[in-house]
Amino acid sequence: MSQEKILSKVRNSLMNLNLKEAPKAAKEAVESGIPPSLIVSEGIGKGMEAVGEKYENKEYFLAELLIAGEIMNRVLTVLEPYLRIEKAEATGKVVIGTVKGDLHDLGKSIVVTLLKSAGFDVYDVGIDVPAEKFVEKVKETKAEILALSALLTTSMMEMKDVIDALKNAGIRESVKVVIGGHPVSEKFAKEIGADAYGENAFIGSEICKKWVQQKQKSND
Amino acid sequence: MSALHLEETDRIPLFDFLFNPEIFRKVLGRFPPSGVSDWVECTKRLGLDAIWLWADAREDFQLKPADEKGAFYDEWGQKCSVVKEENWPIPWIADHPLKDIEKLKEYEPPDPFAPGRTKSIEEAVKLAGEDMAVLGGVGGPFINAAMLTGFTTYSIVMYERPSAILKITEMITHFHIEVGKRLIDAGVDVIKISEDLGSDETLFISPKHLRVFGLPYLKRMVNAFKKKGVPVSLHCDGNINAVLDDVIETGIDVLHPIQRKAHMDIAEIKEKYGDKICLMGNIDATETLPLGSTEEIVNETKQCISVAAPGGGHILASDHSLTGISLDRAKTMFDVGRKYGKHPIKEIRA
Repeated sequence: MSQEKILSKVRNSLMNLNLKEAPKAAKEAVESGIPPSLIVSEGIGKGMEAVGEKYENKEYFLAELLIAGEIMNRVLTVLEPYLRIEKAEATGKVVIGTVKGDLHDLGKSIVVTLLKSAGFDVYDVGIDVPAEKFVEKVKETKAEILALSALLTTSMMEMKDVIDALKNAGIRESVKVVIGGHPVSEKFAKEIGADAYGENAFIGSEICKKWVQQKQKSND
Repeated sequence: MSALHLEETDRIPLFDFLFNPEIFRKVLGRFPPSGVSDWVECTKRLGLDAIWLWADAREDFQLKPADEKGAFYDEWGQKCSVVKEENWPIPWIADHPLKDIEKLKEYEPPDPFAPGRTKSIEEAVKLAGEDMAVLGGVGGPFINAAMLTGFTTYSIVMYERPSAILKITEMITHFHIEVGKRLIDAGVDVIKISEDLGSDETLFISPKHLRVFGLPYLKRMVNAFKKKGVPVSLHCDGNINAVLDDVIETGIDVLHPIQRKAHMDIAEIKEKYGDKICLMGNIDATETLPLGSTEEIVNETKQCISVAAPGGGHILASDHSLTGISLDRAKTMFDVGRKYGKHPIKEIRA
């Protein structure tokens, strides 16, 4: 079977939400000698883009995004040992979490999935995360991007505290901040000094991709 | 009650979920409320026309501690995180008893007929008197099934073993129908089903799936309560436009909370379904109420009344709850309701 054919099997099993088929297809791909990074970008990445299109077209809903996320995790588990050997360059690094006082993680976990499928190294610091912990993790990982999530009106102001904490730590300029979640808006993002507002998980992950591309261009 | 029968009243009724410690502190001088009497008293002093209360846990139920941080297991075996004051009183479900669907075989749901479930409601009915309606709260078939499994498990099992999801939903529907019937016997004026079907942007599961896994059960619940002569109010967050026809078709009498940020347009809904259902909510609890200026709150409330109240069938409320909304801001909204919500509604220029 040609490389493209094997990769399309990975892609299609994800797009069609075939939980059993996808890890098998990924194993077949990696055993046939296809570099795991290519399986991630051309298999999972493209498959997830197709899932995203179906979501935009209202063919898929949140349930389907969660299943796609689960499939991706299972495929990544299969690929992980090979990925470590290959040491592929990640697209970029993102620290992500739900701010203090807020325990919701449905939206965040979808963003995590999309970022992983796009090849990002994702450091998920969880829910109910205090400002200091975000700062610490950004410092430790030297992440280019910090993504903040909140569902509650009562916790959205905490996002400003995180941005202020980045300023106080002297690292505000080294990291781009994107925020998302039910109570926040473009206007709110501007007010608290965030760099962008991700209206939904797809837009949020696209913003991250764009930032990394811009950075690479300016480095070239 | 006339509003529910789509008749014009002397003034539009006022309602909200009083989920806010500051409101209790400022209105009653104490928090947490010491019991049902405090809930009723706070509602009365705010001048609201209805109160909402859940059915109780069974009489002998004791919360089981889940960790040293104060998390606990509820009657369904759901692990609930300790409720922080700003998010009071709804606990966040941190872990789900049926996350591993194999556990369904030995899972025992709570008994709807257990003693004690109507204790708070009976007291509320007594204290509320003639002028305040009591809304008895029960759960919705979709969201409660999804909470027992967690969303990821729910989604996967819905595709791989749909019969398991149907079994869970059946179990939940049975429980809430039987509890609701007891609340009706205890004297509630309205049954309020809390069902969430979507996020701001979209539905949790597709309309096709909802028509199998959610809506038929909701309809059964509505029928069971209406058969006992009580109107049914549906609380459903999120953007549910794609299934709104189906939702109305279940026979509900009231739709709540019609969230602005979730693209729910009260004018459109009034025009399309105003002759069938009463509309409750729609004052933005995400931006306008907690963050907007007094003028913005006044204008939005006036606009909402002018669109939803003519002909009756409108209850003024925020589009979620009073969580994070100061007492003054809530009062601003209710005062506009008292001033401009008198029938017949005059043209209001917002």
